[in-house]
Amino acid sequence: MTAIASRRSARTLSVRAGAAALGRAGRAVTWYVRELMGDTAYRTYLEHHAATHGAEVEPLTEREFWRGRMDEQDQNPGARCC
Amino acid sequence: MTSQPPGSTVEARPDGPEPDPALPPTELPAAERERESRWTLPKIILWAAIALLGGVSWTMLAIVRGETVNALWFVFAAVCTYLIGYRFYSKVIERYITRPDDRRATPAEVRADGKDYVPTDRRVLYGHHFAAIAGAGPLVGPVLAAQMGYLPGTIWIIVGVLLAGAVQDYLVLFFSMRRGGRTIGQMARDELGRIGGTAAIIASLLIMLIIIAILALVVVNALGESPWGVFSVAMTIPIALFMGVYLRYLRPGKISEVSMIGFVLLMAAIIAGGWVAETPWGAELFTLDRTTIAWGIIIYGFIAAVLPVWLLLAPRDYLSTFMKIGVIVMLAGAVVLVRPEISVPAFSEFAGGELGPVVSGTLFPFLFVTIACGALSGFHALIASGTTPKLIEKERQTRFIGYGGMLMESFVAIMALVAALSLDRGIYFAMNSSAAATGGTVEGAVAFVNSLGLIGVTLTPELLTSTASAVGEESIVSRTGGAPTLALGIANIMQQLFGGPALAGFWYHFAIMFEALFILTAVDAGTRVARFMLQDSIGNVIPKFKDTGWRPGVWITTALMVAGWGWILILGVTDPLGGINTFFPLFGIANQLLAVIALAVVLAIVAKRGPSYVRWLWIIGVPLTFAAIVTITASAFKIFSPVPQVGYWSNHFAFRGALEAGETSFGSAQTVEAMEAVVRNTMVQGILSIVFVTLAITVVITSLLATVRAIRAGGGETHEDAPVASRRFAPQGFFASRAERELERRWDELPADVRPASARH
Repeated sequence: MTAIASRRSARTLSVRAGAAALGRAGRAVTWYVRELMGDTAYRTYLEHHAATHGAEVEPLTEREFWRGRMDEQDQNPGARCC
Repeated sequence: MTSQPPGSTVEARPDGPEPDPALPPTELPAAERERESRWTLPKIILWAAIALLGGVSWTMLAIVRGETVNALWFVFAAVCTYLIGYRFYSKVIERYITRPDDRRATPAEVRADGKDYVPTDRRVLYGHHFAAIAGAGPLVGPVLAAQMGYLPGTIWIIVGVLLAGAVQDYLVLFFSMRRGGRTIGQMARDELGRIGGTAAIIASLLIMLIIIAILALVVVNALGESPWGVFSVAMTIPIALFMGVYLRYLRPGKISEVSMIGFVLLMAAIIAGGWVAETPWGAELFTLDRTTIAWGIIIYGFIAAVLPVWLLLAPRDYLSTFMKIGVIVMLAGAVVLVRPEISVPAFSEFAGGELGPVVSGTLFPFLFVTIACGALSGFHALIASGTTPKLIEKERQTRFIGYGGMLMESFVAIMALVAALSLDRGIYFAMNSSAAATGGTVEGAVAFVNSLGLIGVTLTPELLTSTASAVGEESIVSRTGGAPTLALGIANIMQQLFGGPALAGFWYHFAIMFEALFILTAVDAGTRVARFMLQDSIGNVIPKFKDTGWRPGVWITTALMVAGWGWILILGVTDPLGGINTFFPLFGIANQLLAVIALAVVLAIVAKRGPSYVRWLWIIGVPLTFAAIVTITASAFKIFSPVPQVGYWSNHFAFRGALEAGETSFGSAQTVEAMEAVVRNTMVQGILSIVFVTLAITVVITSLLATVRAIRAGGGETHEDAPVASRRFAPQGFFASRAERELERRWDELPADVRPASARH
C-alpha cells in the first residue's frame, strides 16, 4: 500500500520534473525567438529611457517608437550578405 | 596552449581604465581564467575523443575509398574540426592578436542610446550576426564546385574557414568594435591613407553590384519556365506588404507573431503554386522566359529600394531571418537522420583539367573562387564592421560571435555540398551544364552528359523526365545556377523523412522559395546600401545629393545602381555561352577581393599595435597571401588564358575574328547576334577582371607599405576610441562557465539603481 503510494508519488514527481524542464525549454525558446526577431526592442528603449532621462521626459509611445525605428532604417540601410 | 608559455612575448597588459571599486569585477579575474583553462582529466578525454572522431571522419573521406561514402562523415569531420579550431586556434588569435580587455566598455555600453547602440545578449547577437552574413552564397558555390568531386570542396570549406574566413570576420568585428563601429571603408581610409582607402571604397561599390547581379541571375535561372516557382515567389510580395501593414497599423512591434503568420501564408503559397501551375490559365500566366523574369526583378528592385522600408524590406527581412534559422536546423537534422550515401568520387574527371562544364578553369585557383561564401567571404567585412560591433556587450564575446558565426556559415556550406552530392551524377551534370552545351532538351542533355565519359554514369531520357515530373517541373535540363540542384537535393533528402515522393514537389519549391527569399532580400538591401554610397560620393561634388530625404536624388541614384546590376544581369541571362559558367567566377573573384582588402586593412592595424604583435602577423599574413594569390591568378587566367573557355579576352578575340571573317555561326553561338553578344559580354567581363585586380593590388601595396612602416617604427598611430571603464559583466561564450555564473549572480544581486540596464528580460 505505502509502497504503491510512494511509487505513484515518485512517478508524479518525475512527471512534474519533466513538465518543468519542458516548460523551461519552451520559455527559453520563446525568449530567444522574441529577442532575435526584435519584439523586445520597445521595452529595451523604455528601460534605456528610464535609466537615462528618468521621469521628467515623456518616452515615445509604442507606435511612435516603431515608426521612428523604421524611418531610421530608411536613412541607414544595413547590408545583407549573400 | 592554455597556460602562458615561459618566455612568452606577450607583454604585461597595459593598465586598463580604472574600475569602479563599488562594483563587482567587470571581467573574470586572471587567476579564475587560468584555473578554468587548466587541463583536467575529463577535459583531456573529451578533446581526445573529439580529435579522434574528427580524424576517423577525415580518414573515411580522404583515404578510405569505398564505392560510396556516407554523408554522416562530412558532418562529423566538419563539426569536430570546427570545435578544435574554435577551442584552440581562435584562442591563439585572441591571446596574441586581439587581446581583448573586458575592463573596457564596448561602444554599445559607452554610447548606449537604446536603438543603434544596445548591449545585446551574446546568444541573441550570434543569431543576428549569422542571419546578416549567411544567405544564398554558401548554398550556391559548393553546389557548383561539386563538379570537381567531393574532396576539394570539403577541404577548402572546412580548412579555409578556420584559417581564413573566420579569422577575417573575427578580426574585422573586433577592430571595428574598438573604433565605435566604423565601416571597413572608413578603416581603410584611416589605416591605408587616401589612395588605399579610395580604392577600397570603389571596390566595395563595384563588388556590391556584381554580387547583386549574379545572385539575381541565380534566381532568374531557378524561376525560368517554372510556373510553380514564379507563382510562389511572386506571392512573397503581397505577403510582405500585408506583414508591413500589419506591423505599422494593426499591431506594432509584434514581430514574431507577424513572422509566424507570414510563414503560414508562405507555406500556403507554395502549396497553392502546385495547383495553379496545373491549371491551364496558371501555366499560361506564370510560365515566363528568363529575360522577362530578369526585367521583372530589375523593376521590382527599383521599386523596393525607393519604397519605405516598413512596407516591403523590413517585413521580408523578418520572414527571411525566421526561415534562415529554421531551414538550417531542419536541413542539418535531416542529413543526420537520413544519412544519404554519396557515390560521387573524391576527385572527379574535371578536378585535373580546366574544361568542366559547370564552371571552367583549373582546380587552382578556380575552386577557391567558386566557393567563396562558406570558406572566405569578403562581403562579411561589410557586416562585421557595420551593425554587429555596435551591439557587442563585452569585448571577449567577439570571438564567439565573429569566429563562431562564420563557422556556422561554413557548416551551412557543407550541408549544401552534401545535398548536391547526394544526387545522381548524371542528373547533376544535366542540370548544371549550360543550355549552350545541352541545347536545353532532354535528348541533347543525355547525349552531352554521356559524352563526358563520366565513370559509372549512363543517363537515360526517362530518368530526366521522371525526376522533373516528380518535383512538378516541366524540365530540369540546364537549370544552372546551383539553386535548382540544391533544391532537388534537399527535396530528395526531406521526402525520405516527411511525406515520401508525394511531397517531393513541395520540398523542391520550398527550397527554391527560401533561396529566392534570401536573394531578393540581399538585392533590396544591397541596392539601398549601394545607393547610399553613391549619394555620399556624388554629394562630395553636388552637396544636394547628400540629403537622403531629397526624393529626386534618391530616384536618380537608385536608378543608376539598378541600371548597373540590371545591365550585368541581362548580359548574364542572354549570354549565348550559358551565363552562370561565365559570370559566376566574377562573383567569387569579387568576393575574395573584398576579403583581400579587409585582411590588408587588418594587417596594417595589427602591425601598428606594436612590436609584440609582429611575431603573430602570420595569422593574418597566411590568409591574406593565399587570397591575394587566388584572386590575382584567377584574374590573370581570366585576362590572359589562351583557352577560350577560361580566358575572357581570348574568347573575345576568337569571336571577333570569326565575325570579321564573315562567319555566321561560331562555337555555341548560332547567329551573328549571338556572336556579337559574346564579343560584348567577354569585353565587359574582361574589363571588370582588369579593374578588380588593379584595385586589389593597389590596396595590398598600400597595406604592405603601412605595415612595413609600422614594423620599422615599432608601432604606429592608433585610431581606437579612448578606453572607458566598463560597468557591466557578461559571460564570453555560448555557455557560461561556473565562475562566470557566480560573477553574474553577484551583479544580479546589486540594488536595481546601480545594476546596468540589461537586454536580458
